[in-house]
Amino acid sequence: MSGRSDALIAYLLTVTQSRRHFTDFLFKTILAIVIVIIVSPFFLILIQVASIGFWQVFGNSPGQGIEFFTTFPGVGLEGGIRNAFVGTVELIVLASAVGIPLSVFGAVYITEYTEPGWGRSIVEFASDVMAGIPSIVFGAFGFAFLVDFLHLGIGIVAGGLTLAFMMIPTVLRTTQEALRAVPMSLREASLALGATKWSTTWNVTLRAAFPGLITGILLAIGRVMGETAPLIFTAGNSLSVPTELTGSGSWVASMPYTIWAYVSDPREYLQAKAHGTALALMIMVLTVDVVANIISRKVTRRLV
Amino acid sequence: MTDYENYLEVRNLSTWFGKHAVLKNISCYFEDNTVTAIMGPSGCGKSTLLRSLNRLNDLVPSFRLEGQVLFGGENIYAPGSSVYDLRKRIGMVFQRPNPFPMSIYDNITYGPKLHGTKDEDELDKIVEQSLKKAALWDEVKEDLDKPALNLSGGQQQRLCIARALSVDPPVLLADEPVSSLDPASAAKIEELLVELKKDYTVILVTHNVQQAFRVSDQSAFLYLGELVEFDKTRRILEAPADERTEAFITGRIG
Repeated sequence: MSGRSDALIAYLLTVTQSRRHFTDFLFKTILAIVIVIIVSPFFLILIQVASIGFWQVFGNSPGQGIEFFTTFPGVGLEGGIRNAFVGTVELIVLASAVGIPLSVFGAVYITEYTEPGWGRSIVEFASDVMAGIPSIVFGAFGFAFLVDFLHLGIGIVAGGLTLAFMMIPTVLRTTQEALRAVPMSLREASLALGATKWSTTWNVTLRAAFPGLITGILLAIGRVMGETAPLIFTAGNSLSVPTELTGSGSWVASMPYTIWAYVSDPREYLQAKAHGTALALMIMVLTVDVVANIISRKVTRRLV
Repeated sequence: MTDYENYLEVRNLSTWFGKHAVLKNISCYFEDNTVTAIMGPSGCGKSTLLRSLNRLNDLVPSFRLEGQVLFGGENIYAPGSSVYDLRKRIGMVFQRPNPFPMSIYDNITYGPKLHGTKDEDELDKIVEQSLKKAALWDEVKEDLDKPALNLSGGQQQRLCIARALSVDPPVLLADEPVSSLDPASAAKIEELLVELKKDYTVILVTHNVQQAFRVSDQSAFLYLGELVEFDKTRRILEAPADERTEAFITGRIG
């Protein structure tokens, strides 16, 4: 009797044991599948884009490789994407030149010069909401406000400023975070030497917050670099590079816009160019992100 | 007594953060070339008293003050009195080492540059003198361009002392400067504070009775915002006049 019950207990134990092993195994498998699902879009996109556009960017034949970036589209769009490449760089430079100082000084003001309270909350709330506004709405706003109301017209200025608006929430909030992470005693050390508030903020606080600042700026640049929607209504398009600041001479192409235009074009050979442009843009954004990462890690380690 | 050039005196000082009274009617004085220890249990207002001397409490919006702090005979809280000049003449060292995220050299020259010293030779000289006074020169003279944050905690704190001395202030405030350091580094800094007495007036906040005994000439004992005793350190520690002081010294409160 006791022998049989022992055997029964042993049997039940192995069953529960193996059942535990089984649930453990099941969860591991589910998690692994989830991970595959999470990362697969990135690789699928990369494969899709690279399989069509790879030789456009890295090939050696005429019109490929470096020539893809140095020649204008020309008749029938058979040339390269110099217009879009230069356009994107110019738009980013303009957007950064306006958006970064505005956001950084704004963040310095509300973090260092105001007390916590409703004023600061309004700014933070507004910038958080702004971060969530769909980019097409920025495009519509850019058109209604900059192009139409301010009579800037379509072109590089309206396009660049629209992108600058889009950079504000990211740069403002990351700068704020970076400033908050600077220990109060560092500011006090400067003030206790007889420094003014401004001198302290400029020479000590911003300096200590610099790695965080750079990371935020680069992430914002990476984000707006790939935006199409804000540019559709504001930047226009061009087969050349802008020669003026106003009027039709200021119309400017950009890489995302060119991808969109080429992909939706029925001409077969534009597909390779669209995907080549997409690949180049992805590499650019990725590079910016990697640089942001390296800076934030390296400089942070050196400073703190 | 008032013929001391840098004589610092607190007269009937009361302070509040919002509605919370921190210091209650405190009067004391700090003579030239002495070390004064401000002692007391946590939360008794020692740091507030110290930070009232270089107006660092002004950073807190809810801070309010009555009474006077006289430095060289003038009330530092008088309207029109320059807080920047005051802080140039009253240096401060903090609880935790807080070097700027710059090179050792730039940490020392930060203050002098603020106050208009631009000449490179002059700055070099200040760096050397300040680091020598802080007993750090020999350890870092080869590494002046290296980041200050690469130094050890004790070295960082001595760098902070050197930084405070760089603008040649007659008075040096120290807010528990060794509490975050290991015993060996702490001993070094204690020694240094006594050494600095030759040229400076040192005011030290501490909750450590032994430290006050080793370092200071006179002591102020604060308890719940009141100045319980103020006299020669030896007298206070050997024969405390108040039972609260005795309780603190013997370790019953703290």
